[in-house]
Amino acid sequence: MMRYVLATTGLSLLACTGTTSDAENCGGDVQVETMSLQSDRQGIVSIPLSLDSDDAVFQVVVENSGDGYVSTDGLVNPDGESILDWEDWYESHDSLTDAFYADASATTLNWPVRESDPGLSEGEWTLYASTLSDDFYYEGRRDVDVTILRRSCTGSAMKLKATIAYAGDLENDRDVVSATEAAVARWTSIYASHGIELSTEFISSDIKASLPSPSTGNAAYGTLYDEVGEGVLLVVGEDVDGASDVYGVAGGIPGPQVATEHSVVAVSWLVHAGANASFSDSEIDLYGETMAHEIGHFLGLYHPVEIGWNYWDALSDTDDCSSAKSCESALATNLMFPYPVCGNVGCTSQFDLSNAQVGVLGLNIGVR
Amino acid sequence: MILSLSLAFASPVSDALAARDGVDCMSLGDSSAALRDELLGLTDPAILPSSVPMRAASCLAERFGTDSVVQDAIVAWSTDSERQGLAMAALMRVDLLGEPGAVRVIQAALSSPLPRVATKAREMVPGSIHPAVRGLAAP
Ligand SMILES: [Zn+2]
Repeated sequence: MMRYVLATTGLSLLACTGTTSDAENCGGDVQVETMSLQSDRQGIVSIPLSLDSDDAVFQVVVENSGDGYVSTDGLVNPDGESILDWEDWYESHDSLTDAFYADASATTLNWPVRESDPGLSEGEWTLYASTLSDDFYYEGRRDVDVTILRRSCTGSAMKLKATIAYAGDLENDRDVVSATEAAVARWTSIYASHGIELSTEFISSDIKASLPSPSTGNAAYGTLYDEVGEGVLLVVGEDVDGASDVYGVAGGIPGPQVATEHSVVAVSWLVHAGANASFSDSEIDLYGETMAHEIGHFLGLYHPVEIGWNYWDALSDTDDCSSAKSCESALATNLMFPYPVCGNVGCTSQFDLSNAQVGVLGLNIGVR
Repeated sequence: MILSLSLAFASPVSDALAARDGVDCMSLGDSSAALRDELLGLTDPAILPSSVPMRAASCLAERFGTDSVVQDAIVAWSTDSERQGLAMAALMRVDLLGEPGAVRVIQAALSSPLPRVATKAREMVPGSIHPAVRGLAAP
């Protein structure tokens, strides 16, 4: 059965091993629970979510143990009501979450996505995911690893821990380090202007400077995230996926904040430095905006409009423009606009976020 | 053309992951001397954003890599400090230059006084599909 056919559901709990850890900030804890499950004959995985009365946000990461793909199908509340159904969104021109798209070995649902989405309530929720073959047919009896993260507070004081990892021996490249530190300062300033306090740490890593795509995934990213443990992880390399023209790539919308092959954002210093491989002030600004933009994706934000001008985010206060001209007019200064808008003498600063976009960031499990 | 190079991608949802993403060089139109020359013009380091000249260099290697005019340009970039990033971008596509072209460009880059260019050339040698390029590896 292809992914496009309506999923049937079935219980498939194999084993459940709970572990709990605490995190700091905003007075709330993050509870972590892991499970090993198997899909039923139809390829459906039923994931039990026991929520407490004070749970405000959860993120569920389902990872395929073998080949093939996984995706999120839907969410049902304790009253048996469908809160989220992939079929409502899969062919929509408004994008809510990448969790529905079976294009990776892991699927990540952070819920609620928007401040306007139904909130959580105490009781037994069920999240449905599906396991698919390499050619996108439902495939039953597949093992998956599930991690459930829950936190109890919504961000009045929003804080985000970010780790910046240098790939290869870039930590010894003074020009790259200097530009990266300045770019991180700009990213910090952009997030601060929207009420998010970024705490940053710089580390080195064994990953080669020619970075694999986090979208495709790579085991080295999981290993590195495991060392970091929490928050968002941004890897600085020379190029991403062998391309000389990609500024950065996020491991998902949202990305998983547990160790998987996709748990990073990768950025290229070289593409930002440009033709002379040397950073100007404006290129450093763009570099910092790319960091803020890609981490924005990782925390759940889409472009307000995609190039083609007929796909939009699912937020009510970002313009649903429909041409390059009208979109640049309405959204060129938005941090999540799909490309830098430049003229002969410079590029437009892109650091605006709408209230609903900030709301998405505040509801991400890593912002607390 | 500048616009189409800076407008990075077209597929709406999955490509959104690759934000500020690359262009499909094949989407730029039929191969012609006019397209080649337009791309060469777009390698001007003054053009913003920085990805435009980098993408142009990459697409030149991908679409016109066996053209001696393009190979001459890449060789020239490899010793020009204002264009060394373009040389690095082209070196990432060096296998597309054909074996004689790849050997020529790698040799020029290996002997470049610009450390980043020489380093990139050394990185590309072992994995080349061309035996003659792999033969350039330092003993
Ligand atoms: Zn983007």
